[in-house]
Amino acid sequence: MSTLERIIADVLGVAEEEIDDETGTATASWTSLRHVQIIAAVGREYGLRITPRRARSCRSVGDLRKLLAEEGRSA
Amino acid sequence: MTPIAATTVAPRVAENLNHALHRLFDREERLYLLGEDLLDPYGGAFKITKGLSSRFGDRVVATPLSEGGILGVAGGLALCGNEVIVEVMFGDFLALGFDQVLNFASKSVSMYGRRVPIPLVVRCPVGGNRGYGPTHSQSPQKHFVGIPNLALYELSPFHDAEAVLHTALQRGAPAILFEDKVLYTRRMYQENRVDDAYRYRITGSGLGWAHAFPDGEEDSADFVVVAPGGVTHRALDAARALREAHGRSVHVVTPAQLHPLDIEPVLPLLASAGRVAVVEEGTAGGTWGSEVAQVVHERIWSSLSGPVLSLSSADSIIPTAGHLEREVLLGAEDIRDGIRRAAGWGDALRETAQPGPTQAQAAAVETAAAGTTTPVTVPKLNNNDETYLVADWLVDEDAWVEPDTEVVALDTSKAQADIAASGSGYLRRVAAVGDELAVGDILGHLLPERAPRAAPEQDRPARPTRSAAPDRPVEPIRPLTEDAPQEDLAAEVHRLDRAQQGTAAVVAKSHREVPAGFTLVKAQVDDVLDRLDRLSDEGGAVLGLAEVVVKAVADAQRDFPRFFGSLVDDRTVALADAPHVGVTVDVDGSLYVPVVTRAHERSLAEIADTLMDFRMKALGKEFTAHELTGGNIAVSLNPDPGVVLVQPLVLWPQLCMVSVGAVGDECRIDEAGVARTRRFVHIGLAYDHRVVNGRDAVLFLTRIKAALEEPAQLGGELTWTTA
Repeated sequence: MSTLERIIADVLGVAEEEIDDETGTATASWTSLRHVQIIAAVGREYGLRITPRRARSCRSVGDLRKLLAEEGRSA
Repeated sequence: MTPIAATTVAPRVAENLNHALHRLFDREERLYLLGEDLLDPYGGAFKITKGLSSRFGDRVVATPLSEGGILGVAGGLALCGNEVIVEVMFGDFLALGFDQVLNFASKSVSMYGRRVPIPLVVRCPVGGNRGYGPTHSQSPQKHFVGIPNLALYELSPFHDAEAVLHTALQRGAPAILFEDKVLYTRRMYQENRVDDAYRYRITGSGLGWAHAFPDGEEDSADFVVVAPGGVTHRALDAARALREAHGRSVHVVTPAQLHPLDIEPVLPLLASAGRVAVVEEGTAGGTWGSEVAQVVHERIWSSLSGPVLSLSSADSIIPTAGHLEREVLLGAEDIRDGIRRAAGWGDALRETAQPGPTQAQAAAVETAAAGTTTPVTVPKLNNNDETYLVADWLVDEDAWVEPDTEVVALDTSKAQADIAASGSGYLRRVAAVGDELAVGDILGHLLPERAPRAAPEQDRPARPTRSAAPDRPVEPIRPLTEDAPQEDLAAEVHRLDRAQQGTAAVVAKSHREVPAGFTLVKAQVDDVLDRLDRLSDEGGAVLGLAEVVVKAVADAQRDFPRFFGSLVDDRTVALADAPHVGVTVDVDGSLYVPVVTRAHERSLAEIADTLMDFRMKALGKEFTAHELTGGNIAVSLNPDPGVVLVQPLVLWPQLCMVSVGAVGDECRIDEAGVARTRRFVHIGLAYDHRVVNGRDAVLFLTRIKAALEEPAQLGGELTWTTA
C-alpha cells in the first residue's frame, strides 16, 4: 500500500485494504473534520501547502492522488 | 566574513567596526565617509573612524557642524552613483538631519519614475548610561520606523559590522546604523559562545538573528527576549538572573536589522516558548517594541500564553546625574523583574534570591513595621454597579508594595480599573480572581512583615496547586467546593491551555452577564442537501450545510438588525454595519470562533473556502488575532452524528448565537399514505432576552429555516455559483 492510503487509513481509523480511489466524502467515516485532518496530513507528508479551494476539491482518494501527481509527488 | 582567528581574543565592538570601515574602503573605490571631527589624529568622537583619513584622505571628509548639510551632501553623492557612509557624532543630532533623511534621501529612491539607488548609511552612536545628559543620550530609533525605503540596523556584539554595513550599502536605499555607545568597549561574541553557560547561533538568511540560549537548551525556551544589539547585555544579564533564581530557560534574540523587520526566522522559537518580551532603551510611547509586539500578536496569537511584554526606558528626558539616569533607562533588573511579574515567577525568586526591599524602600519598611496593617479595599468606581469582579492580581502574593502601586484589577460593567495601594507593605491577598465584591470590601492587606511561608491561609480556603512541575510558580486554582479534603485536591490536575482559558473567560462572562433565552426549530434539509451535492459536483469542490447556515444568518441582518448588535447600556443597542459571523471551529480539542466578515456579500463557495481555511488554521493553531475578533453574531456547528440539541452560550458582548445540530433521518407518512424518510436538522437560537424576545427569536429562526427548506430564495444570484 502507498503512503497516501496509509495516511488516509490512519485518519479514518480503518484498514488500508478498505481504502480505494472511490473512498471520499461520500464514505460515512469521512466527516468534515476528518477531511481537514486528511488534507493537513497529506500536506505535511508531501511538503505541500494546499489552498482551501484545492482542499475542498479533493473529495476522494482519487482526487488526492491527482493533486499529488500535478504537484510532481509520487503517491 | 569575520576575520577573527579562533584562538584570538575577540575584538572589541569598536575595533570590529573600525576594521569593517577599513576593509570597505579597501574594496570600494567610490565609497565616501562624511562627518564631524573624523580626521586623524582625533579619529572621531568615539575613534571609530581612526586611521581612515590617513589611508583614504580624499574620500574621508570632515564637515562643518551641520547635520542637515552633511546629510544633504551625502544624499547628493549617493544620487550621483557613489556609496556614502555618514557619521553623526551623536544620534540625538540626527534630528537636525531628519528632513534630509525623510524628504530627500529616502524619497529619491522612488520619486524619479524609476528606482534610483541611494547607497547611503548613516552611522550614529546612541544610548545613555554615560552621564551625557538629555541631548547626548537618546535612542531615537522609534522616530525613524516606517519611513518608506529607509532601513534601520543596530550594532550588536553578535553581528560582524562589515557584513552589516556591506548589506546596508548593497540594498541601494538609505539606512541608519544605530550604535549603542555602551557596546563600543565590549567584546564581540565569537565561535557561537557568549560565556560558559550561554551559546548562540545565527538564524535566518542574510544578516539574520542571533539566538542566545543556555547551553544545551537551544530548542526549549520558557521565555524569549527580543533585544536589539544595544540592550543585548542587559537582556542576557536578566536571563542569567532568572535562570539562577528560577531555573528557567530564558533566551535572547537579536536582529541585525530593526526595520523592516523579518520576524519569520524566530517565530517558531517565540511560538514554542509562548512568552515573549521586547526590550529597548528608547523611551516609552510609540516604540519599536510595540511594532514588534503587534506583529508577534498578529502572527502567533494562538501560541502565546500571555501578551507580549514590552519594556522600554521611562517616559522621561534622560537625566545627567548617574543615579537619576539609572532610574530612567532600561536596566537588566527592569527586564528581570518585568519577566518575573509577567511569568508569575515571583514566589520562586523569594525562596531563593529575593533580597527584600531595596535600600530606597528600607525607610518605608520601617514605617510599615512600626505601624499596622493597611487594608486594600474596593473603592467606588461608578454609579452603575453595586459590585465589581476581581479580574486579576497585578502584584504577587507577599511582594513588597509601594504607595500608589496598582495591585489589583477590577471589572466593572463598563471597563476594567486598576486599584492602587494607599500605603506600603507586603501584599496579602484576601479576594480571589472571580470574586464579586461590593464597595468597601477587603481585597487584601499590606502587612508590615512578610507572612510566614508555612502559615495556613486563614482568609480563604486552601487551594490546590499544580503538581506537574514543582519548580513552577504556585498558581491557585479555585476548588470545586470550599471544604474539599486536601488530599483530594492534591490529586492529579489538568491545566487548561490558553485557548481553553480564553473560552472559559468568555463563557463565564456570558453566563454572568447575559440573561439568555433559547428557542429551537426543526428544518427539513433534503432539498438543500441535494442542491449542495449537485453544486459540489458541478464545481468539483465540497459545499456543506454550514456554509448555507452562515449565509442565511448573514442575510437576516437586514431585517433583524438588533440580533447583530451589542448593548451600549441598559437601554441602547449599538447596531452593526454589516454581518460578521463567527463560526465555531474545533478540530483539535481547542475551540476557536473565527469570523466570516461581510458574509452577506459572499457566495457559498467563498464562505466554504473561508471555513476550510479556518479549519486548517485551527489544526495548526495558526489564527491571527484579527481573524478571531469583530464578530457580531456566532454560529455553533455540531455536525457529529447523533447531535440533536445544542444550547450555546451567547458570546458576550454579542446578543445571539445560532446552533446547528447533526443531520438526522426521520420517517413520515406522505399524503398518499406511503412511508418516506427525510432529513432534518435542529436550528437553535440563544439570545439576550434584554434585547430579543421569544417571538423575535421564532421569526428569526423561521427565516433561517425557510432559507434551508427553500434554498432558491437564499441570497442573490451569486450565492449559488461555484466560483
